[in-house]
Amino acid sequence: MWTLAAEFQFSWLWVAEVLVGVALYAMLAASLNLVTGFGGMFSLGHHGFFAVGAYAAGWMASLAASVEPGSAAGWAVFAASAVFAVAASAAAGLLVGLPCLRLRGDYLAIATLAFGEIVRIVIQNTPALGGSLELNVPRLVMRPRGLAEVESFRELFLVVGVAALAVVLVVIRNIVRSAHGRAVVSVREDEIASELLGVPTTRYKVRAFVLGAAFAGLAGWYYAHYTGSIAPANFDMLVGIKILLIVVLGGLGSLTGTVLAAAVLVGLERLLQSGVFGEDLKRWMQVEYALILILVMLLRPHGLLGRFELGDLFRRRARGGRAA
Amino acid sequence: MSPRLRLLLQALPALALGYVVVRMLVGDVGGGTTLLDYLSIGVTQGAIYAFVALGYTMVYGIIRLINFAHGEFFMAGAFAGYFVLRDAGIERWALPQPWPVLLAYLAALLAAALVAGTLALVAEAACYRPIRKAGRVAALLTAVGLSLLLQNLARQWPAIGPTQRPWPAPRMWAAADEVPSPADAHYYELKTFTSPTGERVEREKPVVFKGATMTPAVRQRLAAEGGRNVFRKGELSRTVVDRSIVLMLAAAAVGLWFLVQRTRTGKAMRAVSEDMAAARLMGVNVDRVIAATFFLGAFLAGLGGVAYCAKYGQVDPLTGFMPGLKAFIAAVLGGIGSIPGAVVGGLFLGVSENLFAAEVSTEWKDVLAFVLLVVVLLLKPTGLMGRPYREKV
Repeated sequence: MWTLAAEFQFSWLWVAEVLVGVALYAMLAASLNLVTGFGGMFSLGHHGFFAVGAYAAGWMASLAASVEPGSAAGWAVFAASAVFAVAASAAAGLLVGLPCLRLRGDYLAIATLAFGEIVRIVIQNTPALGGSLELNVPRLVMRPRGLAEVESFRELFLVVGVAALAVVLVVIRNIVRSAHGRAVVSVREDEIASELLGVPTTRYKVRAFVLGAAFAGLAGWYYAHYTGSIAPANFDMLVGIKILLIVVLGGLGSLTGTVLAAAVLVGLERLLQSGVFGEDLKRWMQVEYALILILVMLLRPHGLLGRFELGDLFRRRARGGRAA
Repeated sequence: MSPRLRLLLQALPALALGYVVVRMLVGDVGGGTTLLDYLSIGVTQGAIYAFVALGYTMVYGIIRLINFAHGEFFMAGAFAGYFVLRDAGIERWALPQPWPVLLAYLAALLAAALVAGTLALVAEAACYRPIRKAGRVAALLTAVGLSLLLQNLARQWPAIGPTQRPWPAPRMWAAADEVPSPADAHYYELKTFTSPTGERVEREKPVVFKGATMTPAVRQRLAAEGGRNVFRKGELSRTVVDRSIVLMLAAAAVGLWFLVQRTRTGKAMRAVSEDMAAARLMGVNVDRVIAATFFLGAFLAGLGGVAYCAKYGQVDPLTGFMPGLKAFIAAVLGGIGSIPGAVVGGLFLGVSENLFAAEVSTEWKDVLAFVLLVVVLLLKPTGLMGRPYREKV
């Protein structure tokens, strides 16, 4: 979006943008954690649902291009596009989940990867969605002009992002602790055993998958309205891999770990980008990023926290044990 | 899935095949190309996919890892081949001179295979071996990281750089008088000059473009500079490239079959793939077998890299990405873990993609690969040639 001159780096303006990125990726990773961490379904195509949500929201907003930003109608369309984005990605999740969840392990991963790519190519070949160019998403709640307004725009979206993230986290936590969630986790632990115990495994897998897709759609809505223009290149396989990386780094099945990992990873990326470590390191940024990825995997293959939540570190029963 | 729907889906390939045969008999697709041409392009492309798919499938068969960095081994091989061909001076040779070109290409292929294989050995020892016990997700992400690392290293490394380079091709020299008018191709002259750093640099400069006529002034200048010759860029003839790629695949497939079925190393590979723990207990050096598998897979990917770039005439650090992804799909289509499956899957994907491009649309060609993947996974989750999946309770 806006390129920042060097003097703005590390200003509140810059920090707000980084935090928005953290909220976005935390949301995406939390939704994938529901699928992969709790449900044990290995998905490489989560960016596909992210794209569906973003394009659904963007398309709806582009229908309301004449609405005055910040008016009641603008806010109404803003909220309605969230509902639409979530519904669209949930529908996509159902469409993909029903046939694909019969597959297991790597085959499921491959099928979801194929889905992610199909979404991207379909968008690229659909002129109504901007094709391979950008789809302009009209501003609905505020049209920032000038630096001060950009700052308050980002503050506004920071609040929206944190609220959305909180909703996602609370819903996932409550579901995981409910009977539904226990059933999902039992499928992860041993699908055959839980089927023998009477758990309708496919139904629970599809439900978790659809819910994960819906939350990714919410993240897509947030992203589309924040950047104001989306392109298929924003939703390539690297995004899906980055989301999965955050989930693994944060620990499969650890929500606080996910948020922590999103903060670490996005923060690190932005710091490298900012050139604070010198021009040479900035030029080699992509190489360093990949190196860090490999090193983290080699040193902490089970993530920063494993299956523990941040709070567990201060509780007695968690001491001495490490997640398997 | 209901049995009727299943039957319908299974009948689709037969219907498609029947349609293709009819179309082939009926005649051309337009623009003077027949469906048969697309078929032959498809077979060549499929052969390249198969080269790369073999590596994916072998590594998966033995340690159940989707080696995302395989496309980068392919790219490294392509660059090794590029440097050999360029430094052998293939561009300074006049065609027809088949033997030196053939030798240069053999050297390039060998270099590509060895560089890719060595890179795979290093990667295996440094990254994959330590992560093997940590679980599949961690191993997969390590592979992705390695892929990113190699891509970006190549982009940043001064000798390679991010730009696309034309693949070195022999030049066909002609005296200025021999250039027909209008010219039948772009013609160039070779100029040497001294760069600011004092190096002598050769640059090719266009003399006359395709379809244009060489002006008398240019003719006189060339004559005045000692009757300087001009050249057009000799592509190696398409059919020669295509046929050698297919022949190479056939040779590689036979060689691989022999290696896996008839040698001790091959036996060890099959044993490790069947049951790693049992193989270790029987005294098989599992680490060495896995390293050998990586080497062999990357060796073939290196060959595929040179073949791909020679066919498409250019090379860059991202060369490996799309062929790698497609080859991976081919491996899954054929049944990942199965060596004949990789060849069948590669050819199947190459042919169906090109027939689709000929008959339906080129823009949606890339979707086809992924849709085929999903359909095959749903009908026959272990691929066309894969063994049925047994579940142990």
